[in-house]
Amino acid sequence: MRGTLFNIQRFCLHDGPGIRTTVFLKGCPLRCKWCHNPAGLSPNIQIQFLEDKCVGCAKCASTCDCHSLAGTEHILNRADCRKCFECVESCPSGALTVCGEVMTAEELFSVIMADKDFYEDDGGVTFSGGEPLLQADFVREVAELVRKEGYTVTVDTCGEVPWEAFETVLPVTDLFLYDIKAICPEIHKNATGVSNGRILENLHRLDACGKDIWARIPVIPTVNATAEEMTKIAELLESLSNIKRVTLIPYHSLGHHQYKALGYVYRFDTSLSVSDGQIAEFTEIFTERGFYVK
Amino acid sequence: MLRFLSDVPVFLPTDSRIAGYTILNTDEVVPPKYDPEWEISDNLHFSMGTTYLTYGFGGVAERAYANMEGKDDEAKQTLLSVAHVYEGVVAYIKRHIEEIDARIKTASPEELENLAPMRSNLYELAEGAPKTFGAAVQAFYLAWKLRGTLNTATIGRLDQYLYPFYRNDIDSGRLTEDEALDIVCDLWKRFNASGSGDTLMTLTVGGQDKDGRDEANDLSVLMVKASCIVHQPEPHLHVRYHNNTRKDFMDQVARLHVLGGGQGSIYNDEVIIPSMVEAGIPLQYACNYATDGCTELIIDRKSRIRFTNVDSVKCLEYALFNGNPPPLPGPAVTKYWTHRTAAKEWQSSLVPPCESGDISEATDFKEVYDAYCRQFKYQITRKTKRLIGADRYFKERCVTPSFLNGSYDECLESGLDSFRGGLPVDCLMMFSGSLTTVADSLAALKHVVFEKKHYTMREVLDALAANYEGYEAMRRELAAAPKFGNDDDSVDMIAADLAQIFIDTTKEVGDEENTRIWPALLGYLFVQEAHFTGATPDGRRWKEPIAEHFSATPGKAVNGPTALIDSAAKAPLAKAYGTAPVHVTLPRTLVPRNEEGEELMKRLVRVAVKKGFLMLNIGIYDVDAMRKAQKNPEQYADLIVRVWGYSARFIDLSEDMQEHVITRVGTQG
Repeated sequence: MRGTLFNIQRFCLHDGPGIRTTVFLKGCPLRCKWCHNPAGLSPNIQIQFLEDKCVGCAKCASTCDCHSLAGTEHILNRADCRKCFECVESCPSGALTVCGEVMTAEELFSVIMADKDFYEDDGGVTFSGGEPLLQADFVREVAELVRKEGYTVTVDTCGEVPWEAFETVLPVTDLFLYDIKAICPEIHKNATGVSNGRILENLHRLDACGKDIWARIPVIPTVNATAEEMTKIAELLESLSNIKRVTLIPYHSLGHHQYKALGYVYRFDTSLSVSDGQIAEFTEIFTERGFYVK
Repeated sequence: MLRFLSDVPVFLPTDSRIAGYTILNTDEVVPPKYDPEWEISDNLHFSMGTTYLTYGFGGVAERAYANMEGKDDEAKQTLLSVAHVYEGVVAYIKRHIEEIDARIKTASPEELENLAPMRSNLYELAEGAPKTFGAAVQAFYLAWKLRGTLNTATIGRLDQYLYPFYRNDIDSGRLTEDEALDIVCDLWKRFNASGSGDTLMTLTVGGQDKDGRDEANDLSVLMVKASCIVHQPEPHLHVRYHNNTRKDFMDQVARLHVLGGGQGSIYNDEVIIPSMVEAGIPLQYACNYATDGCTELIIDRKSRIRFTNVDSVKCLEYALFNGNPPPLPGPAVTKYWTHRTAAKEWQSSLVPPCESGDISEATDFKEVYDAYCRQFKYQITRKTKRLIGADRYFKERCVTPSFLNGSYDECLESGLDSFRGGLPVDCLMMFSGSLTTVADSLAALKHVVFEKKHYTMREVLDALAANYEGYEAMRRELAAAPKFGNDDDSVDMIAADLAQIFIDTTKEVGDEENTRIWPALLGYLFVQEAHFTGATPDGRRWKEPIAEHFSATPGKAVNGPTALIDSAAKAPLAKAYGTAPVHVTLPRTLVPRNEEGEELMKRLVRVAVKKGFLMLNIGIYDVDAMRKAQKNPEQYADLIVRVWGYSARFIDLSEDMQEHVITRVGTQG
């Protein structure tokens, strides 16, 4: 089976226990306004143009009509792109690259195994994205291979997938990282484009399965960075049995350059930030309920 | 030396219990001058012997007299000089005691706290061999300073030779562990007062004996602990690791690693000892290896060292232009490593190039690769022969300072000079570092010129001659080609092959000359080489950094430390028993200063060792802090970084070296 992914990062220390290789799969059902990984949004292979690397040599323009130069400024007409990627081949400076790659389960498995000596007892692979469970069958196939070698499997999910996708990966997953953005359905819909009914329902069902879960909460100004919303999330987590850790991830605008490279427009306010004081305050909301926050 | 000893004023520090000068004022003291007929030589790059710990300074003199009997004239003369100098040391110690006695009468209770143990230690040494740990430390410090005179020297396996004194004191209840730790911290502070940076103050801890028994002892643990507490650049602590190394020792080493600063480099006994034995070094000596002041290996108290370097990236320039490279864009002016020395113009130490072949019309990568190999092998051969010639010259024309000769058991017994059969192991070493940058360059040519055929060799050579001015698109394409350190075989295997060529060629030349040549994948003049070598085909402009040792070119290993370790492990590191350092640089954000960070350090060490690394250095740096330190140096005096075989205060580095270190962290994390 084949899967579509956009990055494989070795030596990840924060996506589950130990030293891990994180695989970022393409495609996501949510459209979080602050998303720092826009390459994961589309399920398709895309062309990526990094303006600061372009030397204005116009070699790409000779391969395809999608490219033209106005003076030294490179213009890319994405609508007409036939995805032949000949322009990428021609580009000498690495300004044009392909975002995304199709791999077989065996190919991905062999990349993951490159770091097997570092995994020891607790490390392994983390499937992230995008939303990895949109490609649940592929994840399962790779995860089975990894587990057979004795290493651990973590799935980082937003939860907005049919429950069947969870069922597919449950037998081969050791740990779930479950992203929770908001409890209030309106806030959730407004911020991510979808309501959170299925996300919360899946969370409850997953918890009932007895698998370890680490809750990951992005702390986003103007969205959920309030004591009220954080308390609601904490209360929800309190009603569950298998939340082993809570991670608060403060908003940062580091991904916004990538939007332009992919032809998107970044619509979140880059001037916003979360203070250390706020994080400390929100951390307290979880620790006082007995959660391990890290 | 005797004249010098009688001239040196007595130094009794007020903030330490260890007597002896720190830095000499050369206006007051004339350092030893010697008979110009014989050149006295000590490059300070190897450890001193410890006969003075066994017999005491006076005892060494007595033995030297006794051993004169039945020896030839030269040996007699050597031993007589030893006897005189060691008697001079006893007199020098007695002068310290007299000064203390004069001072004690009026000393305050606080001053007495230092003076009383100082006197008791010195008294032990004036009377005979040291018996207590305190006296042994005092003896070591005096001997180490007198050997270095105005400079500092290699320390060697201090945890081994001071351990019997430590054990004895602890077992008899004379000393507690905390008191011993105070003494070690005191000594560490005295080291730092002598200077920091390229000081040769390397201290090797841990290891194993010839039966595979762990030699890391309680004192080894204490020494690592002292380095964590004192947290200054000196001494450069080097750690010998093997599969049976005691756990509490490696736990303490991990605590040192998370502090950053590149202290606690790991040397892998599991590959070093077998490689040395294979090269013909007897097992009992191989097990006794230590670092020499930088990261090269010597046999502790059993060998000297002589070395020379092959500038591998300059060799590439010679090969690309058939021995006739274009002039540099400007003078190769930079500082040594610290901004405290003046900038000067540097030149390669390579011999005049051979004509390795015109490759400007090459249509096949093999032509380019073969030309490089021809030039590289030519330089290795010529420089190895020169090294052997220099060694012969020294053996015929030079003598060892008597104080140093008398410190070695073998010299003291035989009366032979350490240059001429006095020490049991010869150490002649050939260095070549930065092979990874050569591999990056060759891989870029292979990829862009011979596979993609975007440019011809002629065009690339023109671009290099122009330092890429007017060739920016080409430069970027070359820079975007695969680079060493990212677990990519297409470039890693070139680096591995070059390392193999270096190891094989040094051995071939050595075999022809009946001399063992220790191969080392090391280069310490990488900043200078980046200045005296023009643009290279990896997209690097003149003066931009080249790799140090067998590490990745700064900023080019972008897939994290595991990929870098995998890249380096493809090379025959284990066979380069002279040394094969790989620097792994991690951003501070990844390594917390806690147990989690320590666990991570231990893991990297375990895996690197398992993969056959010979040496691993882990540096943890904060680019923000380094940039701030450049602006406000006085606020960052405690920022310590690894340079080549040593650590130094970041603010002491030259501007070029600061940029080199910052670029290492590069885009990781």
